[in-house]
Amino acid sequence: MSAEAATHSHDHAPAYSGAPRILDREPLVLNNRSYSWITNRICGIVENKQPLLWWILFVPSVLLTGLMAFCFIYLISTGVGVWGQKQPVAWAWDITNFVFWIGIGHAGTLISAILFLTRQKWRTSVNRAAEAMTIFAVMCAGLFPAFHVGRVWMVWFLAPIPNANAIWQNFKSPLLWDVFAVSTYFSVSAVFWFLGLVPDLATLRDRCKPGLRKTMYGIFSLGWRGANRHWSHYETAYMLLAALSTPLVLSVHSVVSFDFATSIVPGWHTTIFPPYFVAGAIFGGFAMVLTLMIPVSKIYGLSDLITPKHIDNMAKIILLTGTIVGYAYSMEFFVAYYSANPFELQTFMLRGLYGPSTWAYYFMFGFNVFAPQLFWYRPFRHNLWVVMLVCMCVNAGMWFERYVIIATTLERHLIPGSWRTYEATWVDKYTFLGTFGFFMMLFLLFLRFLPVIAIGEVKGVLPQSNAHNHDHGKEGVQEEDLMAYPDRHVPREAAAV
Amino acid sequence: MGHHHVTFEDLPQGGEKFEPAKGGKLIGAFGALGALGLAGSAYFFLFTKDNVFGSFAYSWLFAVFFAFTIICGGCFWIMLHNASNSGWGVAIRRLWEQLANMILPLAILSIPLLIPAVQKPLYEWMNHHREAHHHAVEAGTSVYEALHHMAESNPHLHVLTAKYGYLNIYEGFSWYSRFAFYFFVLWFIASKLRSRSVKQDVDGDIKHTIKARQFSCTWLLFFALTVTFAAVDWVQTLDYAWFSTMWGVYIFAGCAWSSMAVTILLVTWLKSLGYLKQVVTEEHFHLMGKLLFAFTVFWAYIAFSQYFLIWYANITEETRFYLTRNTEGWRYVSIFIVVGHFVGPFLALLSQARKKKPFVMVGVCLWILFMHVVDLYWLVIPERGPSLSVGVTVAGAWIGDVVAFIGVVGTVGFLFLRSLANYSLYPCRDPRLLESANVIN
Repeated sequence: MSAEAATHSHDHAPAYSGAPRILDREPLVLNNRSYSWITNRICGIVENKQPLLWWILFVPSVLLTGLMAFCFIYLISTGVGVWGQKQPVAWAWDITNFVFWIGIGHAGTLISAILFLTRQKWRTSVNRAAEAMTIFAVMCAGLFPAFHVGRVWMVWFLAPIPNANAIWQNFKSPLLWDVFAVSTYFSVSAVFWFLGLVPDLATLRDRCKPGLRKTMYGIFSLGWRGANRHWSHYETAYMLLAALSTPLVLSVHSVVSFDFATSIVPGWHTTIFPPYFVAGAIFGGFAMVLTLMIPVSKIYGLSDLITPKHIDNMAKIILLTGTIVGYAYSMEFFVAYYSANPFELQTFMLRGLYGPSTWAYYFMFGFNVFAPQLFWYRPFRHNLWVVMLVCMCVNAGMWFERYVIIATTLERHLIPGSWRTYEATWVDKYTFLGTFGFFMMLFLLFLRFLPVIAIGEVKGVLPQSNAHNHDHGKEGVQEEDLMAYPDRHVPREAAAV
Repeated sequence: MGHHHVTFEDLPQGGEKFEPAKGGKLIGAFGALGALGLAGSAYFFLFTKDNVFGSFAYSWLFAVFFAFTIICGGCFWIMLHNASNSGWGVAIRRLWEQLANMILPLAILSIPLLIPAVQKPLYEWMNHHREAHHHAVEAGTSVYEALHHMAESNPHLHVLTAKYGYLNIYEGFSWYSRFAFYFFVLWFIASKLRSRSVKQDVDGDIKHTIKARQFSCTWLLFFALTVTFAAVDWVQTLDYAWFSTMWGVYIFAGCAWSSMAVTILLVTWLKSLGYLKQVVTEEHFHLMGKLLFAFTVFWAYIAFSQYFLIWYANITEETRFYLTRNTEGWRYVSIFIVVGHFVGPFLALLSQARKKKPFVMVGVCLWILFMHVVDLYWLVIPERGPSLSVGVTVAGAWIGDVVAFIGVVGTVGFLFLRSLANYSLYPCRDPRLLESANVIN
C-alpha cells in the first residue's frame, strides 16, 4: 500500500499516524517455515523409524484389541446375558459406549466440513488427524449395537435387504434411522478423508524408493500429478463433499437423540435433545482431538504447525459447547419443574439429588460444565497440562452424560416393583476398555503410514501463498504484543529455516 | 477478484455520516405509518372494551414481540462477530449496533403489557393469581395457599401451584422483575458495545476491539438466557400448561434469521443512496446470504425437531400447542410456514450467483421478513380465539393486528433509521476495517 499512500495522502493524511491501525491475524505456522520444511517434517513421520514411545503405546493397544475380541467372542458363545443389562435396565454400557464413540466421531467432520465452509483456515493443521479419529471412533461405536443384537451373524437384517424369512425393518423406528444415519456418516466421512489424502499420498509416493510402499501409495494416489486440472477437480469435489457432509454432522447425533426422545420415557422425551446431542458430540469430539493432537505434536515436533493458537481455538470451542451443554442440562431441569409433570421432575430429582446414581450426575455436570470454565482464563488455554486435564475431564464427563441419560433413567421405572440398580459386569468393562485399545491401535497405524497433517492444505495458509502478502505486517500489530500477554509465544523475528 | 484493494487513504476520515434527508422517503414512510399506527393503537387501548380490547392486546404482543426478535437478532450478530474474532463484518457492524440499541424505544412500547387490563385477556394464569391474591388478602393467607385452595375446586389450577416458584406476579423474581431484567440486560449489552465501538472511532485504540470481544464472550450466556426466558414469559405462558425445552432455541433461530434479512435490506438501501460504496462489496452480500441460508436451515432443523418429537411421542399436554395450530384455517398457515419459511428461502438461497445480487436478495429478504411475521403471528394469535371464548379466530381482529404492527414497526423503524445519522455508518478506525473491506471468501 505504500506506493498508493504516497500519492493519496494529501488532503486527508491521517491525523492519527504513528499508532498501529491494523490488528494482524496470528500466523498459523510459526517460525516462517518453508514449503520444503513442512513436506519433510510431515513425511518424515511416515518415512523414519517410529520413536520408542510409539511402540510403548502400540503393543498395549494391540493387546487391548485382543481383549476386546475375546470379550466379544465370549459374548457370542455365551449370550448377551454376560453384560449387566437386566430388566428394567435394558440399555446400559453398550448404548452408552455407542453414543460416546459416535459423539467423538463428530469433531472430524465438523472440522473438515463446517470449518471449511466457514473459512476457518486454522483447521488445516488438525483436520486430517481429526477425520481419521472420526472414522476410527465410528468403527468402535458400531461394534456395540452390532453385538447387542445377540446373534451378530444376523446383523445384516438391520439393512432392508429382501430375505427368505420375509422380515422387514420397522421404518417407523428411530433405531433403524440410526443404522442409516451412522452408516451414511461413516461412508461419507471415509470418502472425504480419502479425497483429502490423495495429493499427500502422491507426495509420499514420489519420495519413496521403489518397492511395496511406493506401489501402495501409487495405487491410492490415483495417478495424482499435481496438475492444475487435478487441483481444480479436487477443490470442486472437496467443496461439494464439505457441503454434503455438513448436514450429516448435524443429522447423525440428532437421529441418535431420537432413539431416546421419541419415546415417552421421562428424562428421555424432551424437545431440546437433537441440538443438545449435537453440541455435546462436538464438545466431546474436540476434547478427543486435543487429547490426541497435543501428544502427537510434542512427540513428532509439530508445534510450529499445531500452534498455541490452534489449541486456544479448540479450547474456546470446548468452552462454548460445554456451556451450551450446560444450558441444555439446565433447561431440562427447569422444564422438568416448569412442566409440572411429577414423573419428569422425579426423574431429574433421582438423577441429581437422591437417586442411586447421583454420583454419575455430579461427574457429568462437573466434568462437562464446570471443568471447561477454566478456559475463560487465557493462561489456562495456553498451559498444555491444564488443557489436557480439562480434555480428560470432558472425555470422562461425556461418557457419564450418556450413562446418566441411559442407565440411571431406566434404574427407576414408574412402578417401584421394577426398580433395579444397574451394575456393570467384567465383560462390560473389558469390552469398553478394549475399544480404547482398538481405537488407539488404528490411530497409531494411521500415524505410521499416512501423513498426519494435510501437507497441501497447510501450505495454502502460509503467508507466502497469499498474493496480498506484501500488505501485511507493515503497519499492523499482533494482539499478543499489543496486550503484552505474559505467555506470549510468537517469536516474531524468528529466523527462517 | 477484480476490485480495488482498499486502504485507509481511500476512506473518508471519520467515516461516512448518514444524512437522513437523503433517505427521507423511506424514513418519512416509516414515521407516517408509525404515527398512524400509534394513533390507532391509542384508540384501541383507550376507547374499546371487552373482546375488541382483548383481541387488540394480542395484536400488541405480536407486534412488540416481532420487533423484539429483530432487535435481539441485531444484538446477537454483534456479539457473535466480536466473540468469534471475525473480520468480514466490521463494515456492517455499526448497523447491528444501532439496531440492538432500539431495545430502549421498544421497552417503552412494551409498557402496555405491564397493565393488568392488557394482561387479562393474554395471560390466563395471571387472572388466577390475581384472584388468589384477592382471596389471600381477605383470608390473611399467602397467595400460594389461596391458589392451592382454589385448585381444590378447579383441578386445572394444580398445574399453577406446581409452577408457582417460577410463574408468579407477587413474589421473588416474579414475571414483572424478569420483564425489567430482560430489557436491562439487552440494553446493557447493546449500549456497552456501541459506546466502545464509537469510542474507537475517536481514539482509534485497538484495545477496544479486544475488550469488545471479551465483553461479548462473557455476555453471550446472559443474552441466551434472556432470549430464552423472555420467550417463555411472554409467549409460552399464553398457554400456561404447555412447555418445550426447545422453545428458547426456536425463538432465537427466528431472531438471527430475520435480523440478517433486515441487515441485507438495510445495506442494499444504504448503498443505493451512495453510502458504504468502498467498504461493502458483493463479497459481503455473499457472506450475509450464506449466513441467512445457514439460519434458514437451522430454523427448519429446530422447528422440525420440536414438532417431530412432540408429534411422535403424542403426549396430551404437549400436543395441545400444535393441535391449536392445526385447527381449521390455522392448519393452512402451518403448512404455509413449512413451505414459505423453509423450502422457498432454502431453494432461493442455494445459488452463489443469487446471493451476490442485491436485487434478488432484496426480494428474498422481504419474503423472509414476511415469513417471520407469519411465524410470530402463528405463535401468538391462535391462542386468542380460545382465550376470548369466541372460537378459533376473532372476526375483524386483523384490523387491530395491522394497526399494532405498523404502530410498533413504523415507530421503531423510524427511530432506527434516524439513529443511523448519529455516528459513522461503519466503525471507521476499527483495526479490522480493511480486512472487512477487502474480504474475499
